[in-house]
Amino acid sequence: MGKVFISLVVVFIVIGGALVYRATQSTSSLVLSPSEVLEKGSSRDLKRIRVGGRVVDPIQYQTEPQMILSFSVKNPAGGEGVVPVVYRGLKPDMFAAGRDVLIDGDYLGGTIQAAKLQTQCPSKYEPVVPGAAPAEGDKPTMAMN
Amino acid sequence: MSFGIIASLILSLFAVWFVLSPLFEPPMPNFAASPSDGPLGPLLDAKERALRAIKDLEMDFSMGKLSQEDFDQSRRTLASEVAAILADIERHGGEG
Amino acid sequence: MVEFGQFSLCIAWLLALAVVIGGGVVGSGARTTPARLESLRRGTILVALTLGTSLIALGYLFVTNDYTVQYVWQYSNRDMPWIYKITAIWGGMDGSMLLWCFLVAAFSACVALRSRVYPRAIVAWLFSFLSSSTLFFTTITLFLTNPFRYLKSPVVMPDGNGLNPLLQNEYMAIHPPMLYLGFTGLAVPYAFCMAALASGQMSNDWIRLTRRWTLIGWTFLTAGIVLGGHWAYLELGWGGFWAWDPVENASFLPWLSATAFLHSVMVQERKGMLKVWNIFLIVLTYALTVFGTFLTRSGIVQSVHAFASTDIGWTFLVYLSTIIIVALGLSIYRRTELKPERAIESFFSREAVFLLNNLVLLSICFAVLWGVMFPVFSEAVTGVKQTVGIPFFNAVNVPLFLALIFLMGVGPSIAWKRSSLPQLLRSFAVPFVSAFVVAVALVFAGVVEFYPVLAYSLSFFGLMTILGEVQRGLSAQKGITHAGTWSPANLTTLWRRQRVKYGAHVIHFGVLIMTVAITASMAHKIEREFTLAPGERFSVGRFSLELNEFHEEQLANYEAIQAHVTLRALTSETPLEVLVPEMRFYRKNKETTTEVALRMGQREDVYLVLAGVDETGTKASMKVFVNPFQVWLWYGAIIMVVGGIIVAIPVPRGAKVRDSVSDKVAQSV
Repeated sequence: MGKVFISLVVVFIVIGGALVYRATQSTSSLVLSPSEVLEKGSSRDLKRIRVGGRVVDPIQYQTEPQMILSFSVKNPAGGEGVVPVVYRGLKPDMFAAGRDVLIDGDYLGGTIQAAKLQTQCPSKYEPVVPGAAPAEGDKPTMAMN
Repeated sequence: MSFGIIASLILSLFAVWFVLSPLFEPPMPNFAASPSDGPLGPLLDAKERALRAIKDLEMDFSMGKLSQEDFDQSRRTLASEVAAILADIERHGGEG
Repeated sequence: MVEFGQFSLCIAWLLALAVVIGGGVVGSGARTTPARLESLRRGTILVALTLGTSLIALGYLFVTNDYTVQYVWQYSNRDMPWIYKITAIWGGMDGSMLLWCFLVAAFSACVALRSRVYPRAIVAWLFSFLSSSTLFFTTITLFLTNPFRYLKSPVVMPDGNGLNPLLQNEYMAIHPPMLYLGFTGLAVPYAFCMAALASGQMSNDWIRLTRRWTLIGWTFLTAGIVLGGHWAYLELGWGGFWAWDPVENASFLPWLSATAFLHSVMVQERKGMLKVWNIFLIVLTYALTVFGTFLTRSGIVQSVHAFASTDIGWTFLVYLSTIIIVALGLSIYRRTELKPERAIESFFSREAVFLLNNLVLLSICFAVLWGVMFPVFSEAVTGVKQTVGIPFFNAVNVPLFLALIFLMGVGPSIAWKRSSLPQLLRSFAVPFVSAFVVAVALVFAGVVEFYPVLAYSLSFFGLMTILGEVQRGLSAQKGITHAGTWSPANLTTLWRRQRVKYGAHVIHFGVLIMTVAITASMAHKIEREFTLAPGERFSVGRFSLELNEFHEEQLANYEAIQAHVTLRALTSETPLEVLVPEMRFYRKNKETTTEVALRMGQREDVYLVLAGVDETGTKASMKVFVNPFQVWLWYGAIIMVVGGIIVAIPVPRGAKVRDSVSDKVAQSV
């Protein structure tokens, strides 16, 4: 191994490591389920969180004077409690009750203020197979003849 | 139903014949022996690499990326390298 | 047809197993007779044929609406046009795994068809390792995600469940197969690499072949990634093309390491060094393609478009560890053959720049991997699950990418072995000064943010170095009248003599164009939400938008509302175009989707989304994006792919080395 090779590799490990470390520190957010949000956020606000949850009614969508989408989420796997969410922006495609969504934002005063909202799709579109045990009551079920 | 089974049978018989037939019917079309397969392989490769380096050097020089003295010095070392490799090949009885 | 498909799959599995074992036996034995090699070769080809018939059988089941098969029932229905029934083959996990198997096998078969001219010592091992890839994916398809399973239902279903509306799109026909071609294509250089290690033969022929096959996979992968971005841009309605989603990252990771390899292999080809490094890069690339499949199919990280969580994740982990252990073991076993023949002499040499380029690419690769796996790491280490998003990826990757663009300009213009400083200054004076002028001009024009200015001027720097290279190439041509002039005849000669080199410049040129487009779309994008009644206008950028009317439509499975919006330049009353964004309500699952209205232009795209119509049906809420230079992103990608094809075209055997210069050199020494 030449000196040039070694010194370049070392320099890069340091630079790359520093960049990654700094960016991680300043941008990482907590991943929580809706029930964990309720539990941890009962006494304080939570900044920079990502919540994966299943959308439940009621869904309200107003477009004037500003686009505001408000709805609630609960744990996809079942569990207690629903958390209200407010998202100022365009309703994403395929957004509907029963869909799983990813929300990035802050939990302030009992509501998730979403900065970013994504519906989990399109590949995650696995229909319920007849004969298989229904996982959740509110999943769209197929008619059985 | 039966179509599927018949087709599957035909397919498997064909597979067995297609794969095993070369083993029982010489002569076979040969796989080309590349020069680098033989005992001289590494030397021939080294010779090719050194010639390639000289070519690159001349190209870089003609495109103005090298000074005259850098070019002269590098060319001398590379030329002696080629000479050494050629001598090696000679010793091992091959023709370069 | 179900039996036939299933049976073909079984035969393919058995054959692949036989070739893996047979290849190993023949390769490690002393007697590699042509007959044995031919038998292995035929086996490899036949695996592809049988997987092909299996795939055709699945397609037949889809086209004939055979809802006794669970997979067909899940992903199609009678109303779908036939083309979407075909694309539904890879609409879900089971079928996409079968397609994957077929493509790996098809690539292996292509190698096998050409294998008669390959170095004989490695051919047996080559077949063995190629088929080991096929064997792994076929094992999963056959035993874990078999698409030929019958539907567990007491009665035959009258109609299928249907394909996700978002996947009923022409890009579904081309994007996944292209991406899979990229992924599976990279199994070939892996097999070459392992075969070389197993046989101990790492000749110059081997380098050329490995590089060619990497380039083929790389070109497909580039096309597949960009097509995915294009699809997201047109279909998903958020105005962007890349979101650093785990699935996107999964395709990007092997692209980065493959790109690194394509550069560092040139150093090995000339200097006989970086051998271990190159093996590491190839194995890493292949491992990352497997890892990508694992990522999207295991549900280990949350993603917008991950497949449903399945329990096949562990098989991928086992396979990944096997790949790494085997590669590591063989590298240690062959450590004497892998010793570098010399060292890098100077920081100012093309070798050093290529190494730097490799390190930057790997840093990006590592940062992206870190970002993807951070939720898993953080939970394992601290017990608290954390994640990173787009800001993280931008913060880390923007500076690294700009460093890469800089090196891309420097690399081709610096000499091999060593350059002296005065020489470097002379080569780079013009590009450097002109890039600086561009930067100053941009600041005066009002672009003051640091990164955009840097990105534009570095792109210009890169462009100038490419032009400088062509200019110097023209001047250096011997035996040509009017050397140094940009006449078509001179350019053609230059092109013919050094196609690979100038093909690489074409790829780099495409990268520069994409850099400008990406910078523009990141820095100068306009995004506005507004509500209009018919007759009202809204201004955005240099355009105005006027709502004319609504239009409603009832279709078989959805109803649609369209807004007709006239687009004008602010300075003129002449309509440029009537944009028709659309909202669709799918009755079956009460979902809405939006269809974007897009006006592509050289200067900017106008991208209009209909967000909603109020209850009285008189006002429309819309979101508009003005994306500057967006179209150049796609042009740049096309240029890159064209460059990839140019470089990948085979050179007539031996022609390259035996041309004039080295012959003369050989005689003179």
